[in-house]
Order: sequence, then structure tokens, then C-alpha cells
Amino acid sequence: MRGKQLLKSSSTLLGMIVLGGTVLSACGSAKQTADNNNGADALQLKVMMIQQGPEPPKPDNPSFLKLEHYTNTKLDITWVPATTYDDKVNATIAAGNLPDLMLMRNTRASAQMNAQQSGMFWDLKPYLKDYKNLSKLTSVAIQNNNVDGHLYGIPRERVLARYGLIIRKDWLDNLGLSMPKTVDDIYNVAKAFTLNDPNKDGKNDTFGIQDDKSMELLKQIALYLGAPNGWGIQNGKVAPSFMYPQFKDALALLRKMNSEKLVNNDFPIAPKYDYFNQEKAGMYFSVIDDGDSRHTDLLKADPKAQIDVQENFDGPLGQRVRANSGYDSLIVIPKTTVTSETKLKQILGFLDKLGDPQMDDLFNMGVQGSDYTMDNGKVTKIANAPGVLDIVNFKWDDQTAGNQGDITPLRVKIIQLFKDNEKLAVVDSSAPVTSTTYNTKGKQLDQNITDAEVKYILGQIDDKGWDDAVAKWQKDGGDQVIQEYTADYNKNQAQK
Amino acid sequence: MAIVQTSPEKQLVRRKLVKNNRALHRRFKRHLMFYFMLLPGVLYFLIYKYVPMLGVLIAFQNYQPFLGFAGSKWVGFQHFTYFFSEDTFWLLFRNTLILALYNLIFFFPLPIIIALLLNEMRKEVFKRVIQTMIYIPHFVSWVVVVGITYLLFSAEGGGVINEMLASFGMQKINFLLSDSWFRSLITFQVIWKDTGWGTIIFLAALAGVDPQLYEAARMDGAGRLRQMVHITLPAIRSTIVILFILRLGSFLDSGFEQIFLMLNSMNREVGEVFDTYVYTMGIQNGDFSYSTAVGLFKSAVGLVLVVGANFLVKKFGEEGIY
Repeated sequence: MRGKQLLKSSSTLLGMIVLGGTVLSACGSAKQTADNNNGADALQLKVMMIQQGPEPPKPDNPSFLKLEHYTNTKLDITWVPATTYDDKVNATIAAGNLPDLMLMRNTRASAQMNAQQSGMFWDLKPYLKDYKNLSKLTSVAIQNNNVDGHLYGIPRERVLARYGLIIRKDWLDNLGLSMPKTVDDIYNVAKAFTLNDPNKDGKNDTFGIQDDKSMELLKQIALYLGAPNGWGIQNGKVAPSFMYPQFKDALALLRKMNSEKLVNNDFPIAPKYDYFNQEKAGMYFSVIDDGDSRHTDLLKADPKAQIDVQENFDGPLGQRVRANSGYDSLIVIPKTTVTSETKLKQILGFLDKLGDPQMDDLFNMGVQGSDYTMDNGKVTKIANAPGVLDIVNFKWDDQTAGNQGDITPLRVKIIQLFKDNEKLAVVDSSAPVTSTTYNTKGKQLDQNITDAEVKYILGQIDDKGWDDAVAKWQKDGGDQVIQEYTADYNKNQAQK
Repeated sequence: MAIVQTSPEKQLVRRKLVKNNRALHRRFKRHLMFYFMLLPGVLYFLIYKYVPMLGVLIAFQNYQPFLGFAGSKWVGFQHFTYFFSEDTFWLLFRNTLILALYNLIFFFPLPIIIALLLNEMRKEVFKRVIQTMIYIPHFVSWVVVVGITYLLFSAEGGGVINEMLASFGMQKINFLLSDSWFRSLITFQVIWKDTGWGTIIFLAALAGVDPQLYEAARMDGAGRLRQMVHITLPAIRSTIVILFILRLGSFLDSGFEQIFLMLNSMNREVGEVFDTYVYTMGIQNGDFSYSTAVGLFKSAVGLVLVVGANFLVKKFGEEGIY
């Protein structure tokens, strides 16, 4: 019958399509090994590491070779691009096929928290004291990685007071304005940037603040107004910031700014940095080191552009700076691959060496001769040098340690702000506590609240809609999360 | 001891069986080479399709990667009962179903119509060129398609469509951040990307129609439209039916990449579907067992639809897929 014949020819075609699909779905990560002059006694390690640059570092990168040489290791690194990194970690955990060393970013998210709690990784707490550098890990970083009293990896230390405002200094000067110092100032400057033609080109083509889906603007305004950073302690309970009245004030202010077009209304889908780099927006909120690292193209394209940063805003509770948790990611050692304590100690020795001053300088500046030249203690970058690239992701100790090398005046200011403002840093109170409910439902709960925030700011829902969303959050498991966090918090307090 | 007597009928049956068996054996021997050539294909399906299917068993466990498949606790249908009792279930079900219906109503007939139109074309060259042109979007990845959509439809980033609307003095429409435009955009993307590709099979079917039928019809005075209705359409009917059944099997597959890339806070209410939910729960939340249960449910629905549709089609005297 004709039908059957037709089916035959069409199924051949279908087969071709399927085959094409299989061939196309190629592997998304690159492998790297290097021939080094390290002898047979070198420690061989399989590592999974994040790649933030467009390409992974080459195996003959001078910094990489020096790192291997200094630590006497042979590293077999799987570089995984940042956009898919967390998914790849979760999939690797699920498959159980783990490397010797792995970087975990979302250490408090369910999949990775479950992995820690199930005993998949070595508890490193008892070993730290035996190592020269590791024993100096900051207590904040250790405390915030507390999982039932254990520490399942080496936290990469980060300065606490990292968040603030990045602003176009030349736009401020053009309009005769001074650096914003309060939330009201932020609003006024945003308005002036939108209406008063800060770039003096005679066109109405600018707006105040760029925001994106991470909604850093909301987080920081809420904090300046008196809400906690993520989670706070309210009447003896660990409570989320969005249950504080000050948070509601921040939401209302953002709603106002969005309706007046001082903030880009497409923030849920807008890429970070783009509007600022295109000279459409004059401010954004982020980690302030972005001010120095994310705008090289902008500064090249427009030599008049000047960028400045600000962290100190006055508010009802005094100056407060949104802090991270004092660390970024954990470097974990899986028990399934590293089975013996001897190997574990070797690996810890490797990590310890990465905290030596020589390595700090390497991470900051690269290798002398190929990346920079040194003249009477003054460091000068070599143009088109290979650079440290993503090898810097191995650095776990103090970001400001070692010779900073050839850096911009803005960078000097940023490092100074980090130091000066450490005492103003407000840390998320939920960082050192755990909750089983959050582990299973957290992602969904967070998403529902974020969606409600966006809808409220864009005027899609009213006060009642917002209150309903919070009530639904409580009912869907939020109340239970609060309860479990509080219980764990009280337990930690009792131990102190 | 009694001697077991075998009846003549039984003996006959046995002889027949032996004969059949022998014939089978002989056939096997004669085509040994063919079976050998079949082997890689069979192995491929066994190793990469059938063995991993055993993994669905974790839907009935509380799978913990560290404990492994053997060590994890069995929980029966717990994940399923939890899923069906959630509000999210109905949201997902509604969204997935509506998107699938949009797809079936607006997308499915298009390749057939385009194939018929192409078939009526007189200039062969022209037909070929158009065919090639409309295939091309199929090879563009979803990431790029969504990127193009953003460029065209964005309201603030200078999207072409909105600039046009504005120049006509009309209100800008925030297509990308709106729950009322989401489904239309998704369906439009599918149409743009895969209509051309979908025509291939129908064109192949059309090529198989006996030209003598058309000649005879023309003799009897049938015009173009009449030929189409009475010859062309009946000729490709079985192909349409088969493709329809196959499509029902993937009825609830909403195209993960496409929807995931288009989702945001403003359209999640209408955009969250089974596929994106499985991703959120499984890969991002690490709830492997639960997300497997959701995925398994989706596949079961697909299977029921295919078997059901096939049954109905056969009832109506068509061929079906098996």
C-alpha cells in the first residue's frame, strides 16, 4: 500500500533528523592538561572549575604552569562555562561521577546542601589547624558555611562589604550634582539623569538606574531603609526581609521610579551592564568592583566617561552596606573519589600552598616577564599578555592580599572602601542555618516571591496582590522555613 | 507407569512447530549478514534508550546520589500523590495543554497547506528556491530564535516592531513582559522555525501521487481545486493521519529550550509547563526523584494519547502506525 511506502521514505527522513540531532548535541566543556617539568612525584588531581572568560586558559599559560610548578601538582582541569556551571555541578552530583576537587557555587541551594548533608564530601574542620594558611580562614566564612556543625569544603574568602552604587561621575558634574548619600538623593539623581540631559547631547536619551533580574536595586534600597539583607532577626525569629515594613517602602519607591521611567521597565529581561555600557543609564547597583572591571570598552569608546563608586548611604539605622556571606563558593573534596586520608592531606597541602604570598602575587598579576615587568618595585603590565584568566578562580584567601600590581586609582579606592566599610557590613542571617523545607521547596518559594516583587514594581499587582503573595508563601512552606531556621539559629546561639 | 499417548492433532501441531522452527532457523542463516548489520542499531537502542529507562525507577524512591540507586529508600507513589495534590499541577497542566492545542490548531495544518501550495507551482525552479528558503529557519538554534525575538519585540531596547507601532502613533506593546502575548509569541516562533521543515514529508507524499489520476480528472473536466480536493488530499490522507498520531505522542512536550528562554517573572503564570518545572525541580532544586515522577507522568500521558488515537484511527478504517 502506498501509505506504508510513504511511511518508509518519511521514516528515513526522520531517522536523518534524529541522527543530526545527536551529532549536534556536542559536549560543552573543555579539558585541559599540561606537560610540565614536574616529576613523577607530582600530585595528580582531577579538578572541575568554573570558566568565566569566553575561552578556557590554554594549557601552556605561564600562570598555570607556574602554579603547577610551585605546588608540584599535575592538574587535569575540566573548565565548565559559568552560565551552565551550577547545573553541571548538580548533574555531576546526581551521577556520582566526581573529580578530586570541585568548586560549588550554590552551597546553600537544595541539591548542593543535600549533597553536603548526606556526607558526600570530607568534613575539613578538624584538619584546618594543621595548615599554615588554611588555619587562618576567616571565622565569618567558616561560620556561614556551617552545616550541622561541619565544614564541607574550603570557602573562597571574599571581602564582606562588597555591594554599592556604580555611577557616572561626569554626568553628576555636568548637572552640578554631588554624590548621592541617602535614598532620597538616589531618587533625585535618577530623576535628574532621566530628565536633565546629563550627557549634554541635547537629546532625551538617558535614564537614571539600570536594573536587571537580580534586582540588586531593590535589595540595596530595602537595606538602606532598614530591612535586613535577605533574612534578619525579627522578634527572636529568623524572618525574610520581605516581611519587614521597610521592604514594602522600598517596593513602593521602586514602583514609583519605574512608573516615572527612572529605571528601565524591562529589567526582568535586561542584560546586566548593557544600558550602562551603552551610556543610556547613569547608575546601577552591584558589587562595586564591577565599576573597575566591567567597563573597559565604555572607557575606550568614550574617553570623557568617568566612573565612581559609593557604598556609604545614611538611613534610619545608620550607614549599612549589603554584604555577601564572606565567601564565594566552596572547594569541596568528594569522599567517593578521594578515599584515603593520606590523599586528602595531600590535597589540603596543595590548597594550603595556594594561600602563600607567591601565589597571591601570581593571582593578582600573573608571571613576571610574561605578564608584567618590575622596575624598582613598580609593576607595569605588559600589553597583550596572556594574563591569569580563570586560573584566578583557584584563589581562596583574602582578595586584597599580596602585591596588587598595576591598578587604576578607582581600584585603589574600591579596596580602601572594602577595608573601611567592613564594620558596616550587614550579613544575611540565614547564611549559617539550615532548613529541610527550604531544601525541598526553597527554589519554588523564592521564585514565587520574586515574581510578585516584579509584578508589584511594574504595577501588575496592587498592595493586596503583594500581601496575598506573601500569605501564599507562608502557607506553602514559608512559615515552616522560618520555624526551622529559628530552631537552628537558637541551637547555634546556645553553642556560642 | 502409564505411557503418555499423544493425540494425532497434537502431533500435527508439534510437527508444524518444528517445521516452523526449522524454517525460521534457515531464514536466520540465510540472512545472517543482515542480522549482523542490524546489531549496532539494536545495541544502540538497548544501551542508550532501554537501559537508561530503568532510571525512571527513582521516581518511586527518595533518591540520594551519595547512597546511590541501591541504597536509596523506596517510597512507592508518594511523589505522584504529592504532585497531583499541588496547586502547581493544575497550573502546569493547563499551560501545557493550551500551548499544545495552539500548536495543534495553528501549526499542524500549516505545513500541509504550504506543501499543497508548493505542489501547485508550475515553475520547478521557483518551487525549489522557496522550499530551500523556508527550510533554513529549522537549522537556527532556539537560543538564536529567542535572541531575534528579543531584538524584534523588545519595548525599551528599540525593538523594530515597537518602533513601527510608535511611528504609526500607536501605543507600544510590551510583548516580552506580558502574559497575554506569551502563547502567541511561542506559537509564532514555532511556525516561523518549523513550518518549512514540516513540508518535507508532505511533499514526499505528494510526489508519489500517480499523474495518470490527474490526467483522467482533467479529461473529466475537473479544475485545479477539484483535483486538489478529490485526488491530492485523499492521496496524502494516510500520511497526515500518521503524522498526527506521532505528534500526539509528543503532545505534552512543549519545547523546553524555547519556553525556558522566553520565561520571566511577568509571564510565568501562563508559561510554566511540565518541561520547565522538571528542570527547576530536578536540576536546579536537586529533587531528582520528584522531577522524575513528573516526567514519567508526562510520558505516560503521551503514551495513552498515541495508543488511543491509533485505536480510533483504525476504527475509522485508516492505517494507523502499527
